[in-house]
This record gives sequence, C-alpha cells and structure tokens, in this order.
Amino acid sequence: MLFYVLKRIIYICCILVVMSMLVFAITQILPGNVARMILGQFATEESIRAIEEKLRLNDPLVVQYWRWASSLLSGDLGESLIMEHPIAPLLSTALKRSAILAFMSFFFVTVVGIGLGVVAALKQNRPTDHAVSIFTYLGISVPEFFWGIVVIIFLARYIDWLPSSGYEPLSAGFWNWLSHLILPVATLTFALIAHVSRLTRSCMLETLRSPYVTAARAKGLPERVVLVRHALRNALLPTITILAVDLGWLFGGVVVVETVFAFPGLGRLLMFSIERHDLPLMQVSLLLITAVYSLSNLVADLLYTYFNPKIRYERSAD
Amino acid sequence: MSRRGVPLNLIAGGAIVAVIVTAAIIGPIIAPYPYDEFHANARFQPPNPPYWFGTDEFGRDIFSRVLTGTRLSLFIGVLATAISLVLGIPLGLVAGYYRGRIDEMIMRTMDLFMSFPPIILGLLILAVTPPSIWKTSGAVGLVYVPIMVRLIRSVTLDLMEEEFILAARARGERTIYILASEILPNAWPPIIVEGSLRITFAILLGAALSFLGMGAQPPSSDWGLMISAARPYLLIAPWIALAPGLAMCIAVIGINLVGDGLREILDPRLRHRWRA
Repeated sequence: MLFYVLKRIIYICCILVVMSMLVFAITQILPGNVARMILGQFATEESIRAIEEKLRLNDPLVVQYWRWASSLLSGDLGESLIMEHPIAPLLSTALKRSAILAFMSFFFVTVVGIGLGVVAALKQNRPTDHAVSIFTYLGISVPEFFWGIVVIIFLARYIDWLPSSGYEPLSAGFWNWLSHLILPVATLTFALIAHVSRLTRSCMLETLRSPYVTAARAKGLPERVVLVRHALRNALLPTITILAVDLGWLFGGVVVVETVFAFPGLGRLLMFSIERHDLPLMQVSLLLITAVYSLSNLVADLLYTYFNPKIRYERSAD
Repeated sequence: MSRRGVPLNLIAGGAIVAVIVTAAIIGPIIAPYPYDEFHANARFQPPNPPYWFGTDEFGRDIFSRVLTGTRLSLFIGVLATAISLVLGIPLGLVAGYYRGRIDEMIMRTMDLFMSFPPIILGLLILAVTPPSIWKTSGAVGLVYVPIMVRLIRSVTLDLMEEEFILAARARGERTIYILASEILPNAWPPIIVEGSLRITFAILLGAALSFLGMGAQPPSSDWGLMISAARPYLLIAPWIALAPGLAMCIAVIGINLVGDGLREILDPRLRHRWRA
C-alpha cells in the first residue's frame, strides 16, 4: 500500500512538471510576441521594448522556462505586472478563501447528496423519488453560473439579508462572514448534487435487495441498524468515486461561481489576470489551480483504494 | 416506457431538439427584429408584445436575440463535439489496436490533459489569443478529446476479442482496413450515445467560457454572453438573464433526453449486432 502511494506521488510530481511546461509553453511561447500580447495591439515600440527588458523575453525560451520554474521551486512566485505586488501573498489569501468555498460545498454535496439518494431509494417510484429526481436533474441541465444568477435574482431581491457578492473575513463577525458564503456555496452544491444522489439511490436500491440485508432483517435487527450499518456502508463505495470526481470539478466550477458572486478567491484572481494580460500572475494561478486539482484527485484515489482493498494496482484506463 | 418500441425519452427529446434545430436554422430569418437593433425609446421593457421576452439595456428585443443565439450555442456544441471525435476516434482506435508502447504513450498524454479541470484547460488555451467563436469551439473540442479517446479505446479493446477481427487479420488485411471497416462500423452505437451527451457538455462549457468573456464577443447574442452582460441589471430587468438561461435549460434537457433515448435503443443491440 505504501509503495502504491509513493508511486502515485512520484507520478503526480512528474505530471506537475510537465504541466508547468505546458502552461509555460502555451502562455509564453505560443502567442508569438508575448510583449505585444500583454500590452495589446496599440502598444508603442518603446513600451514593448520596456516590457521585453523587464521580463527578459529575449532570452532563449529554455532559459526563460528554467528561470521561471526554478524561482517557483525556491518559493519566489514573482510579481504581478498589473498590481506591482508580490504574487505569493495574493495567492495565499485567495487560495484560503476559495478553499473555504470548496470545502463547504463539498461537505454539503456529500451530506445532502447522499441523504437525498437514500431518501429516494427508500421511497422508490413514489412522488418523493420523482421530486428528488427532477430537482437534481435541473441542477445539471444548466450551467452553474445560471443558477447563481437565478439565486441572486430571486433570493437577493426578496431576502435582502443575504448579500450577493463580496466577502468579509471572520474578523468582521461570524454572521457577516457566513452570509457572504451562503449563496456561492448553495449554487456550487446544487450543481453537483445530481450525480451523487442518483448514484447513491441506485447503489442503495441494489444493496437493499441483497441477501445479507434480508438476513439482517430476518435476524430481527431494527430497520435503522439494517439501513445504516449494513446497506449504507456497502452502497457508499461507488459514491466515493463520484465524490472524488466532484471534488476536482469544484475547482473548475469555482472560477465561474466566484465571477458571478464577485467572490475574491483564486478563480476571480485567475480571471483578473487573464483579462488584464498579467502574465506572471496568470501562469502561477493556472499552475496552482491545476496542482490543487491533481492533488485532490490523488487524495480521492488513495481514499478509494484504502476503502476498497480489491484495487491496489494502477487505475485501469477504462 | 416505450410506445411501439420507441422510448418516450426519444420522442419528447426529439421534439425539443427539432424545435431547437429549426430555431437555429431559420431563427435569424423569422426573428421579429435584428438581434442588434437598438430601440432607444423601449429600453428595459418587461416581456409584453411586441417584445415577447422584453428588451435589454439598449432596447434590443430579447426574443430575437435568444432566437439568433440558438445558432451560436448549437454551433459551438456540435463543432466542439465533432472536433473531439475527429481527433479522438483515430487516437482511440490506434491505442486499442496496437496496445503496448503506443497505447501507453497515447493514454499518458491523455491523462496529462485530463489533469486539468475542463474550464481551466479551456481558459489556458483561449487566454493568450483574441477570443472568437471558432477558437472557443476548438478549445472545447480539445478539452473533450481525452474522454473520447478513452471511450473508443475501450470499445476497440472489446472488439479486438471478436472472432471476425481475428479472421480479418488471418486473411492478411491491412490495419487501416481492419480499423475502418471492421472495428469502426461496430463501434458506432456507443460513439453516438456518448457524442450526443457530449454536445450538451460542450454547449454548457462553451456558454461558461462565453460568460467569462472568452467566447463570443458583443454584440453577438450568444446565450452565455447575454447572461454575463445582464448582470448589472439583474434586479431591475431579470428577464434579460432569464430568457437565454431558460433557452439553454430547454436545449440541454432536450438533447439529454435524446441521448438517454438513444442509449435505450442502442444499448441492448451493442452486444448482439455485429457485422461480420
């Protein structure tokens, strides 16, 4: 098991290195004249030369990459072009805020998603089941930014104690902090519940039909014990896979939801850097988001392997 | 859930998709107003004739804009899916057929691309060049190539076990022939099902990219762009955002239903209908 974990960690490190090359190649090599891309089409010759000086864009590409990669590794994340401010503190604040969003959403997706799935399984084919089905189906039929918009329109209009944008740190008061999180978290959660609850529902249905559940009931165990300790435990295994996929997906969805709710997290920072052509910030943000995504996929993979002893070798590419 | 053998899904979904496709094709012609025509004296009108979905901040008719936008969203969805198939099918076939080193290489590369969250990969590709709808379609297509490769590779792997493939190889047929005329024709059912569902994902991803400013540009009436532009006016004129959103919802649900229906028809036949 330990060997497997080590192998996966090494694999992830390789992926990160290649990823950094890819990010660098696409953002700094592909556009051709990087200075012109940063400054826009109406830049003067002078300002182009100034930027080229500053970013040392005339060095051979490999040298540029090496310089960038080695300074990243030594902890120097560079400086934002637009804000003229070191990137590292910007990133760490943004990352913390996005992490709060992501983890809260993940928590609710797990709890509510599994809960709804179980309820739907228990009341199979009755109105409750169909209601849950439709409710979750809506969540995946429309892009999450639209749900954010809908939520803002209806909730913020009629319930004005829920702010629809921005962020307050904990130091400004617990409710203040929480109220800014509620809408973005709700939007993210709604978008992801469908898969989790559908899978939980079908797994529960299968498990409930199995011999050992019948045996448990025949033993005279209270229904609750049968459900939780026997049925649910076994039904949850495939759900972990989906949750793993969702965790990764959250990091993509976070970009859009943060834009809708003007939430100052990593996604918003990334969009800012793209809109303003802030190359250093863009590169590091992209790399960071992707690294976090890979790491969370790794954690999910490892958790799944831990819970399912049948799978101890590499994921089959199927 | 069937009527005369055709799933209900397919009928309902098919009806919706037919409407959408019609709107895409003749939309700009039957639209009551050009999508970019200002009506300065009728700004922020709520839905009422003659502006069925109301007007926006420039007085443009939302109904016409949604109608013309159908074409754009469908375009991105279909083109992106087509790109992912054109690139994914050959790669998947080759990986599944040859196995070994080539398979490893291809799948490792696909794994690398799948290590990026989809939106991020799209943003990465589009961030460094002036945006356009063609580029957005291309980026979304590229994002979905790995998934297609995986699917086709696994279908190919399954098919390689069949006797008629063995027979073809024993006959000494060339690889290209085997791939194109023996394997591919039998691989269509899962490709069709996956492809149709992929179109919905492509539409949603394309809309997200347009929403973020990386897709269609103003004054285009792409649905994602419309929703993004509607943000300052959400509280005074919510219809500007709701109309395109609802249109997207209906389109995606329709295509999903068709995909589900297709899967119901094609799945049982997957295992039993080989063309030898």
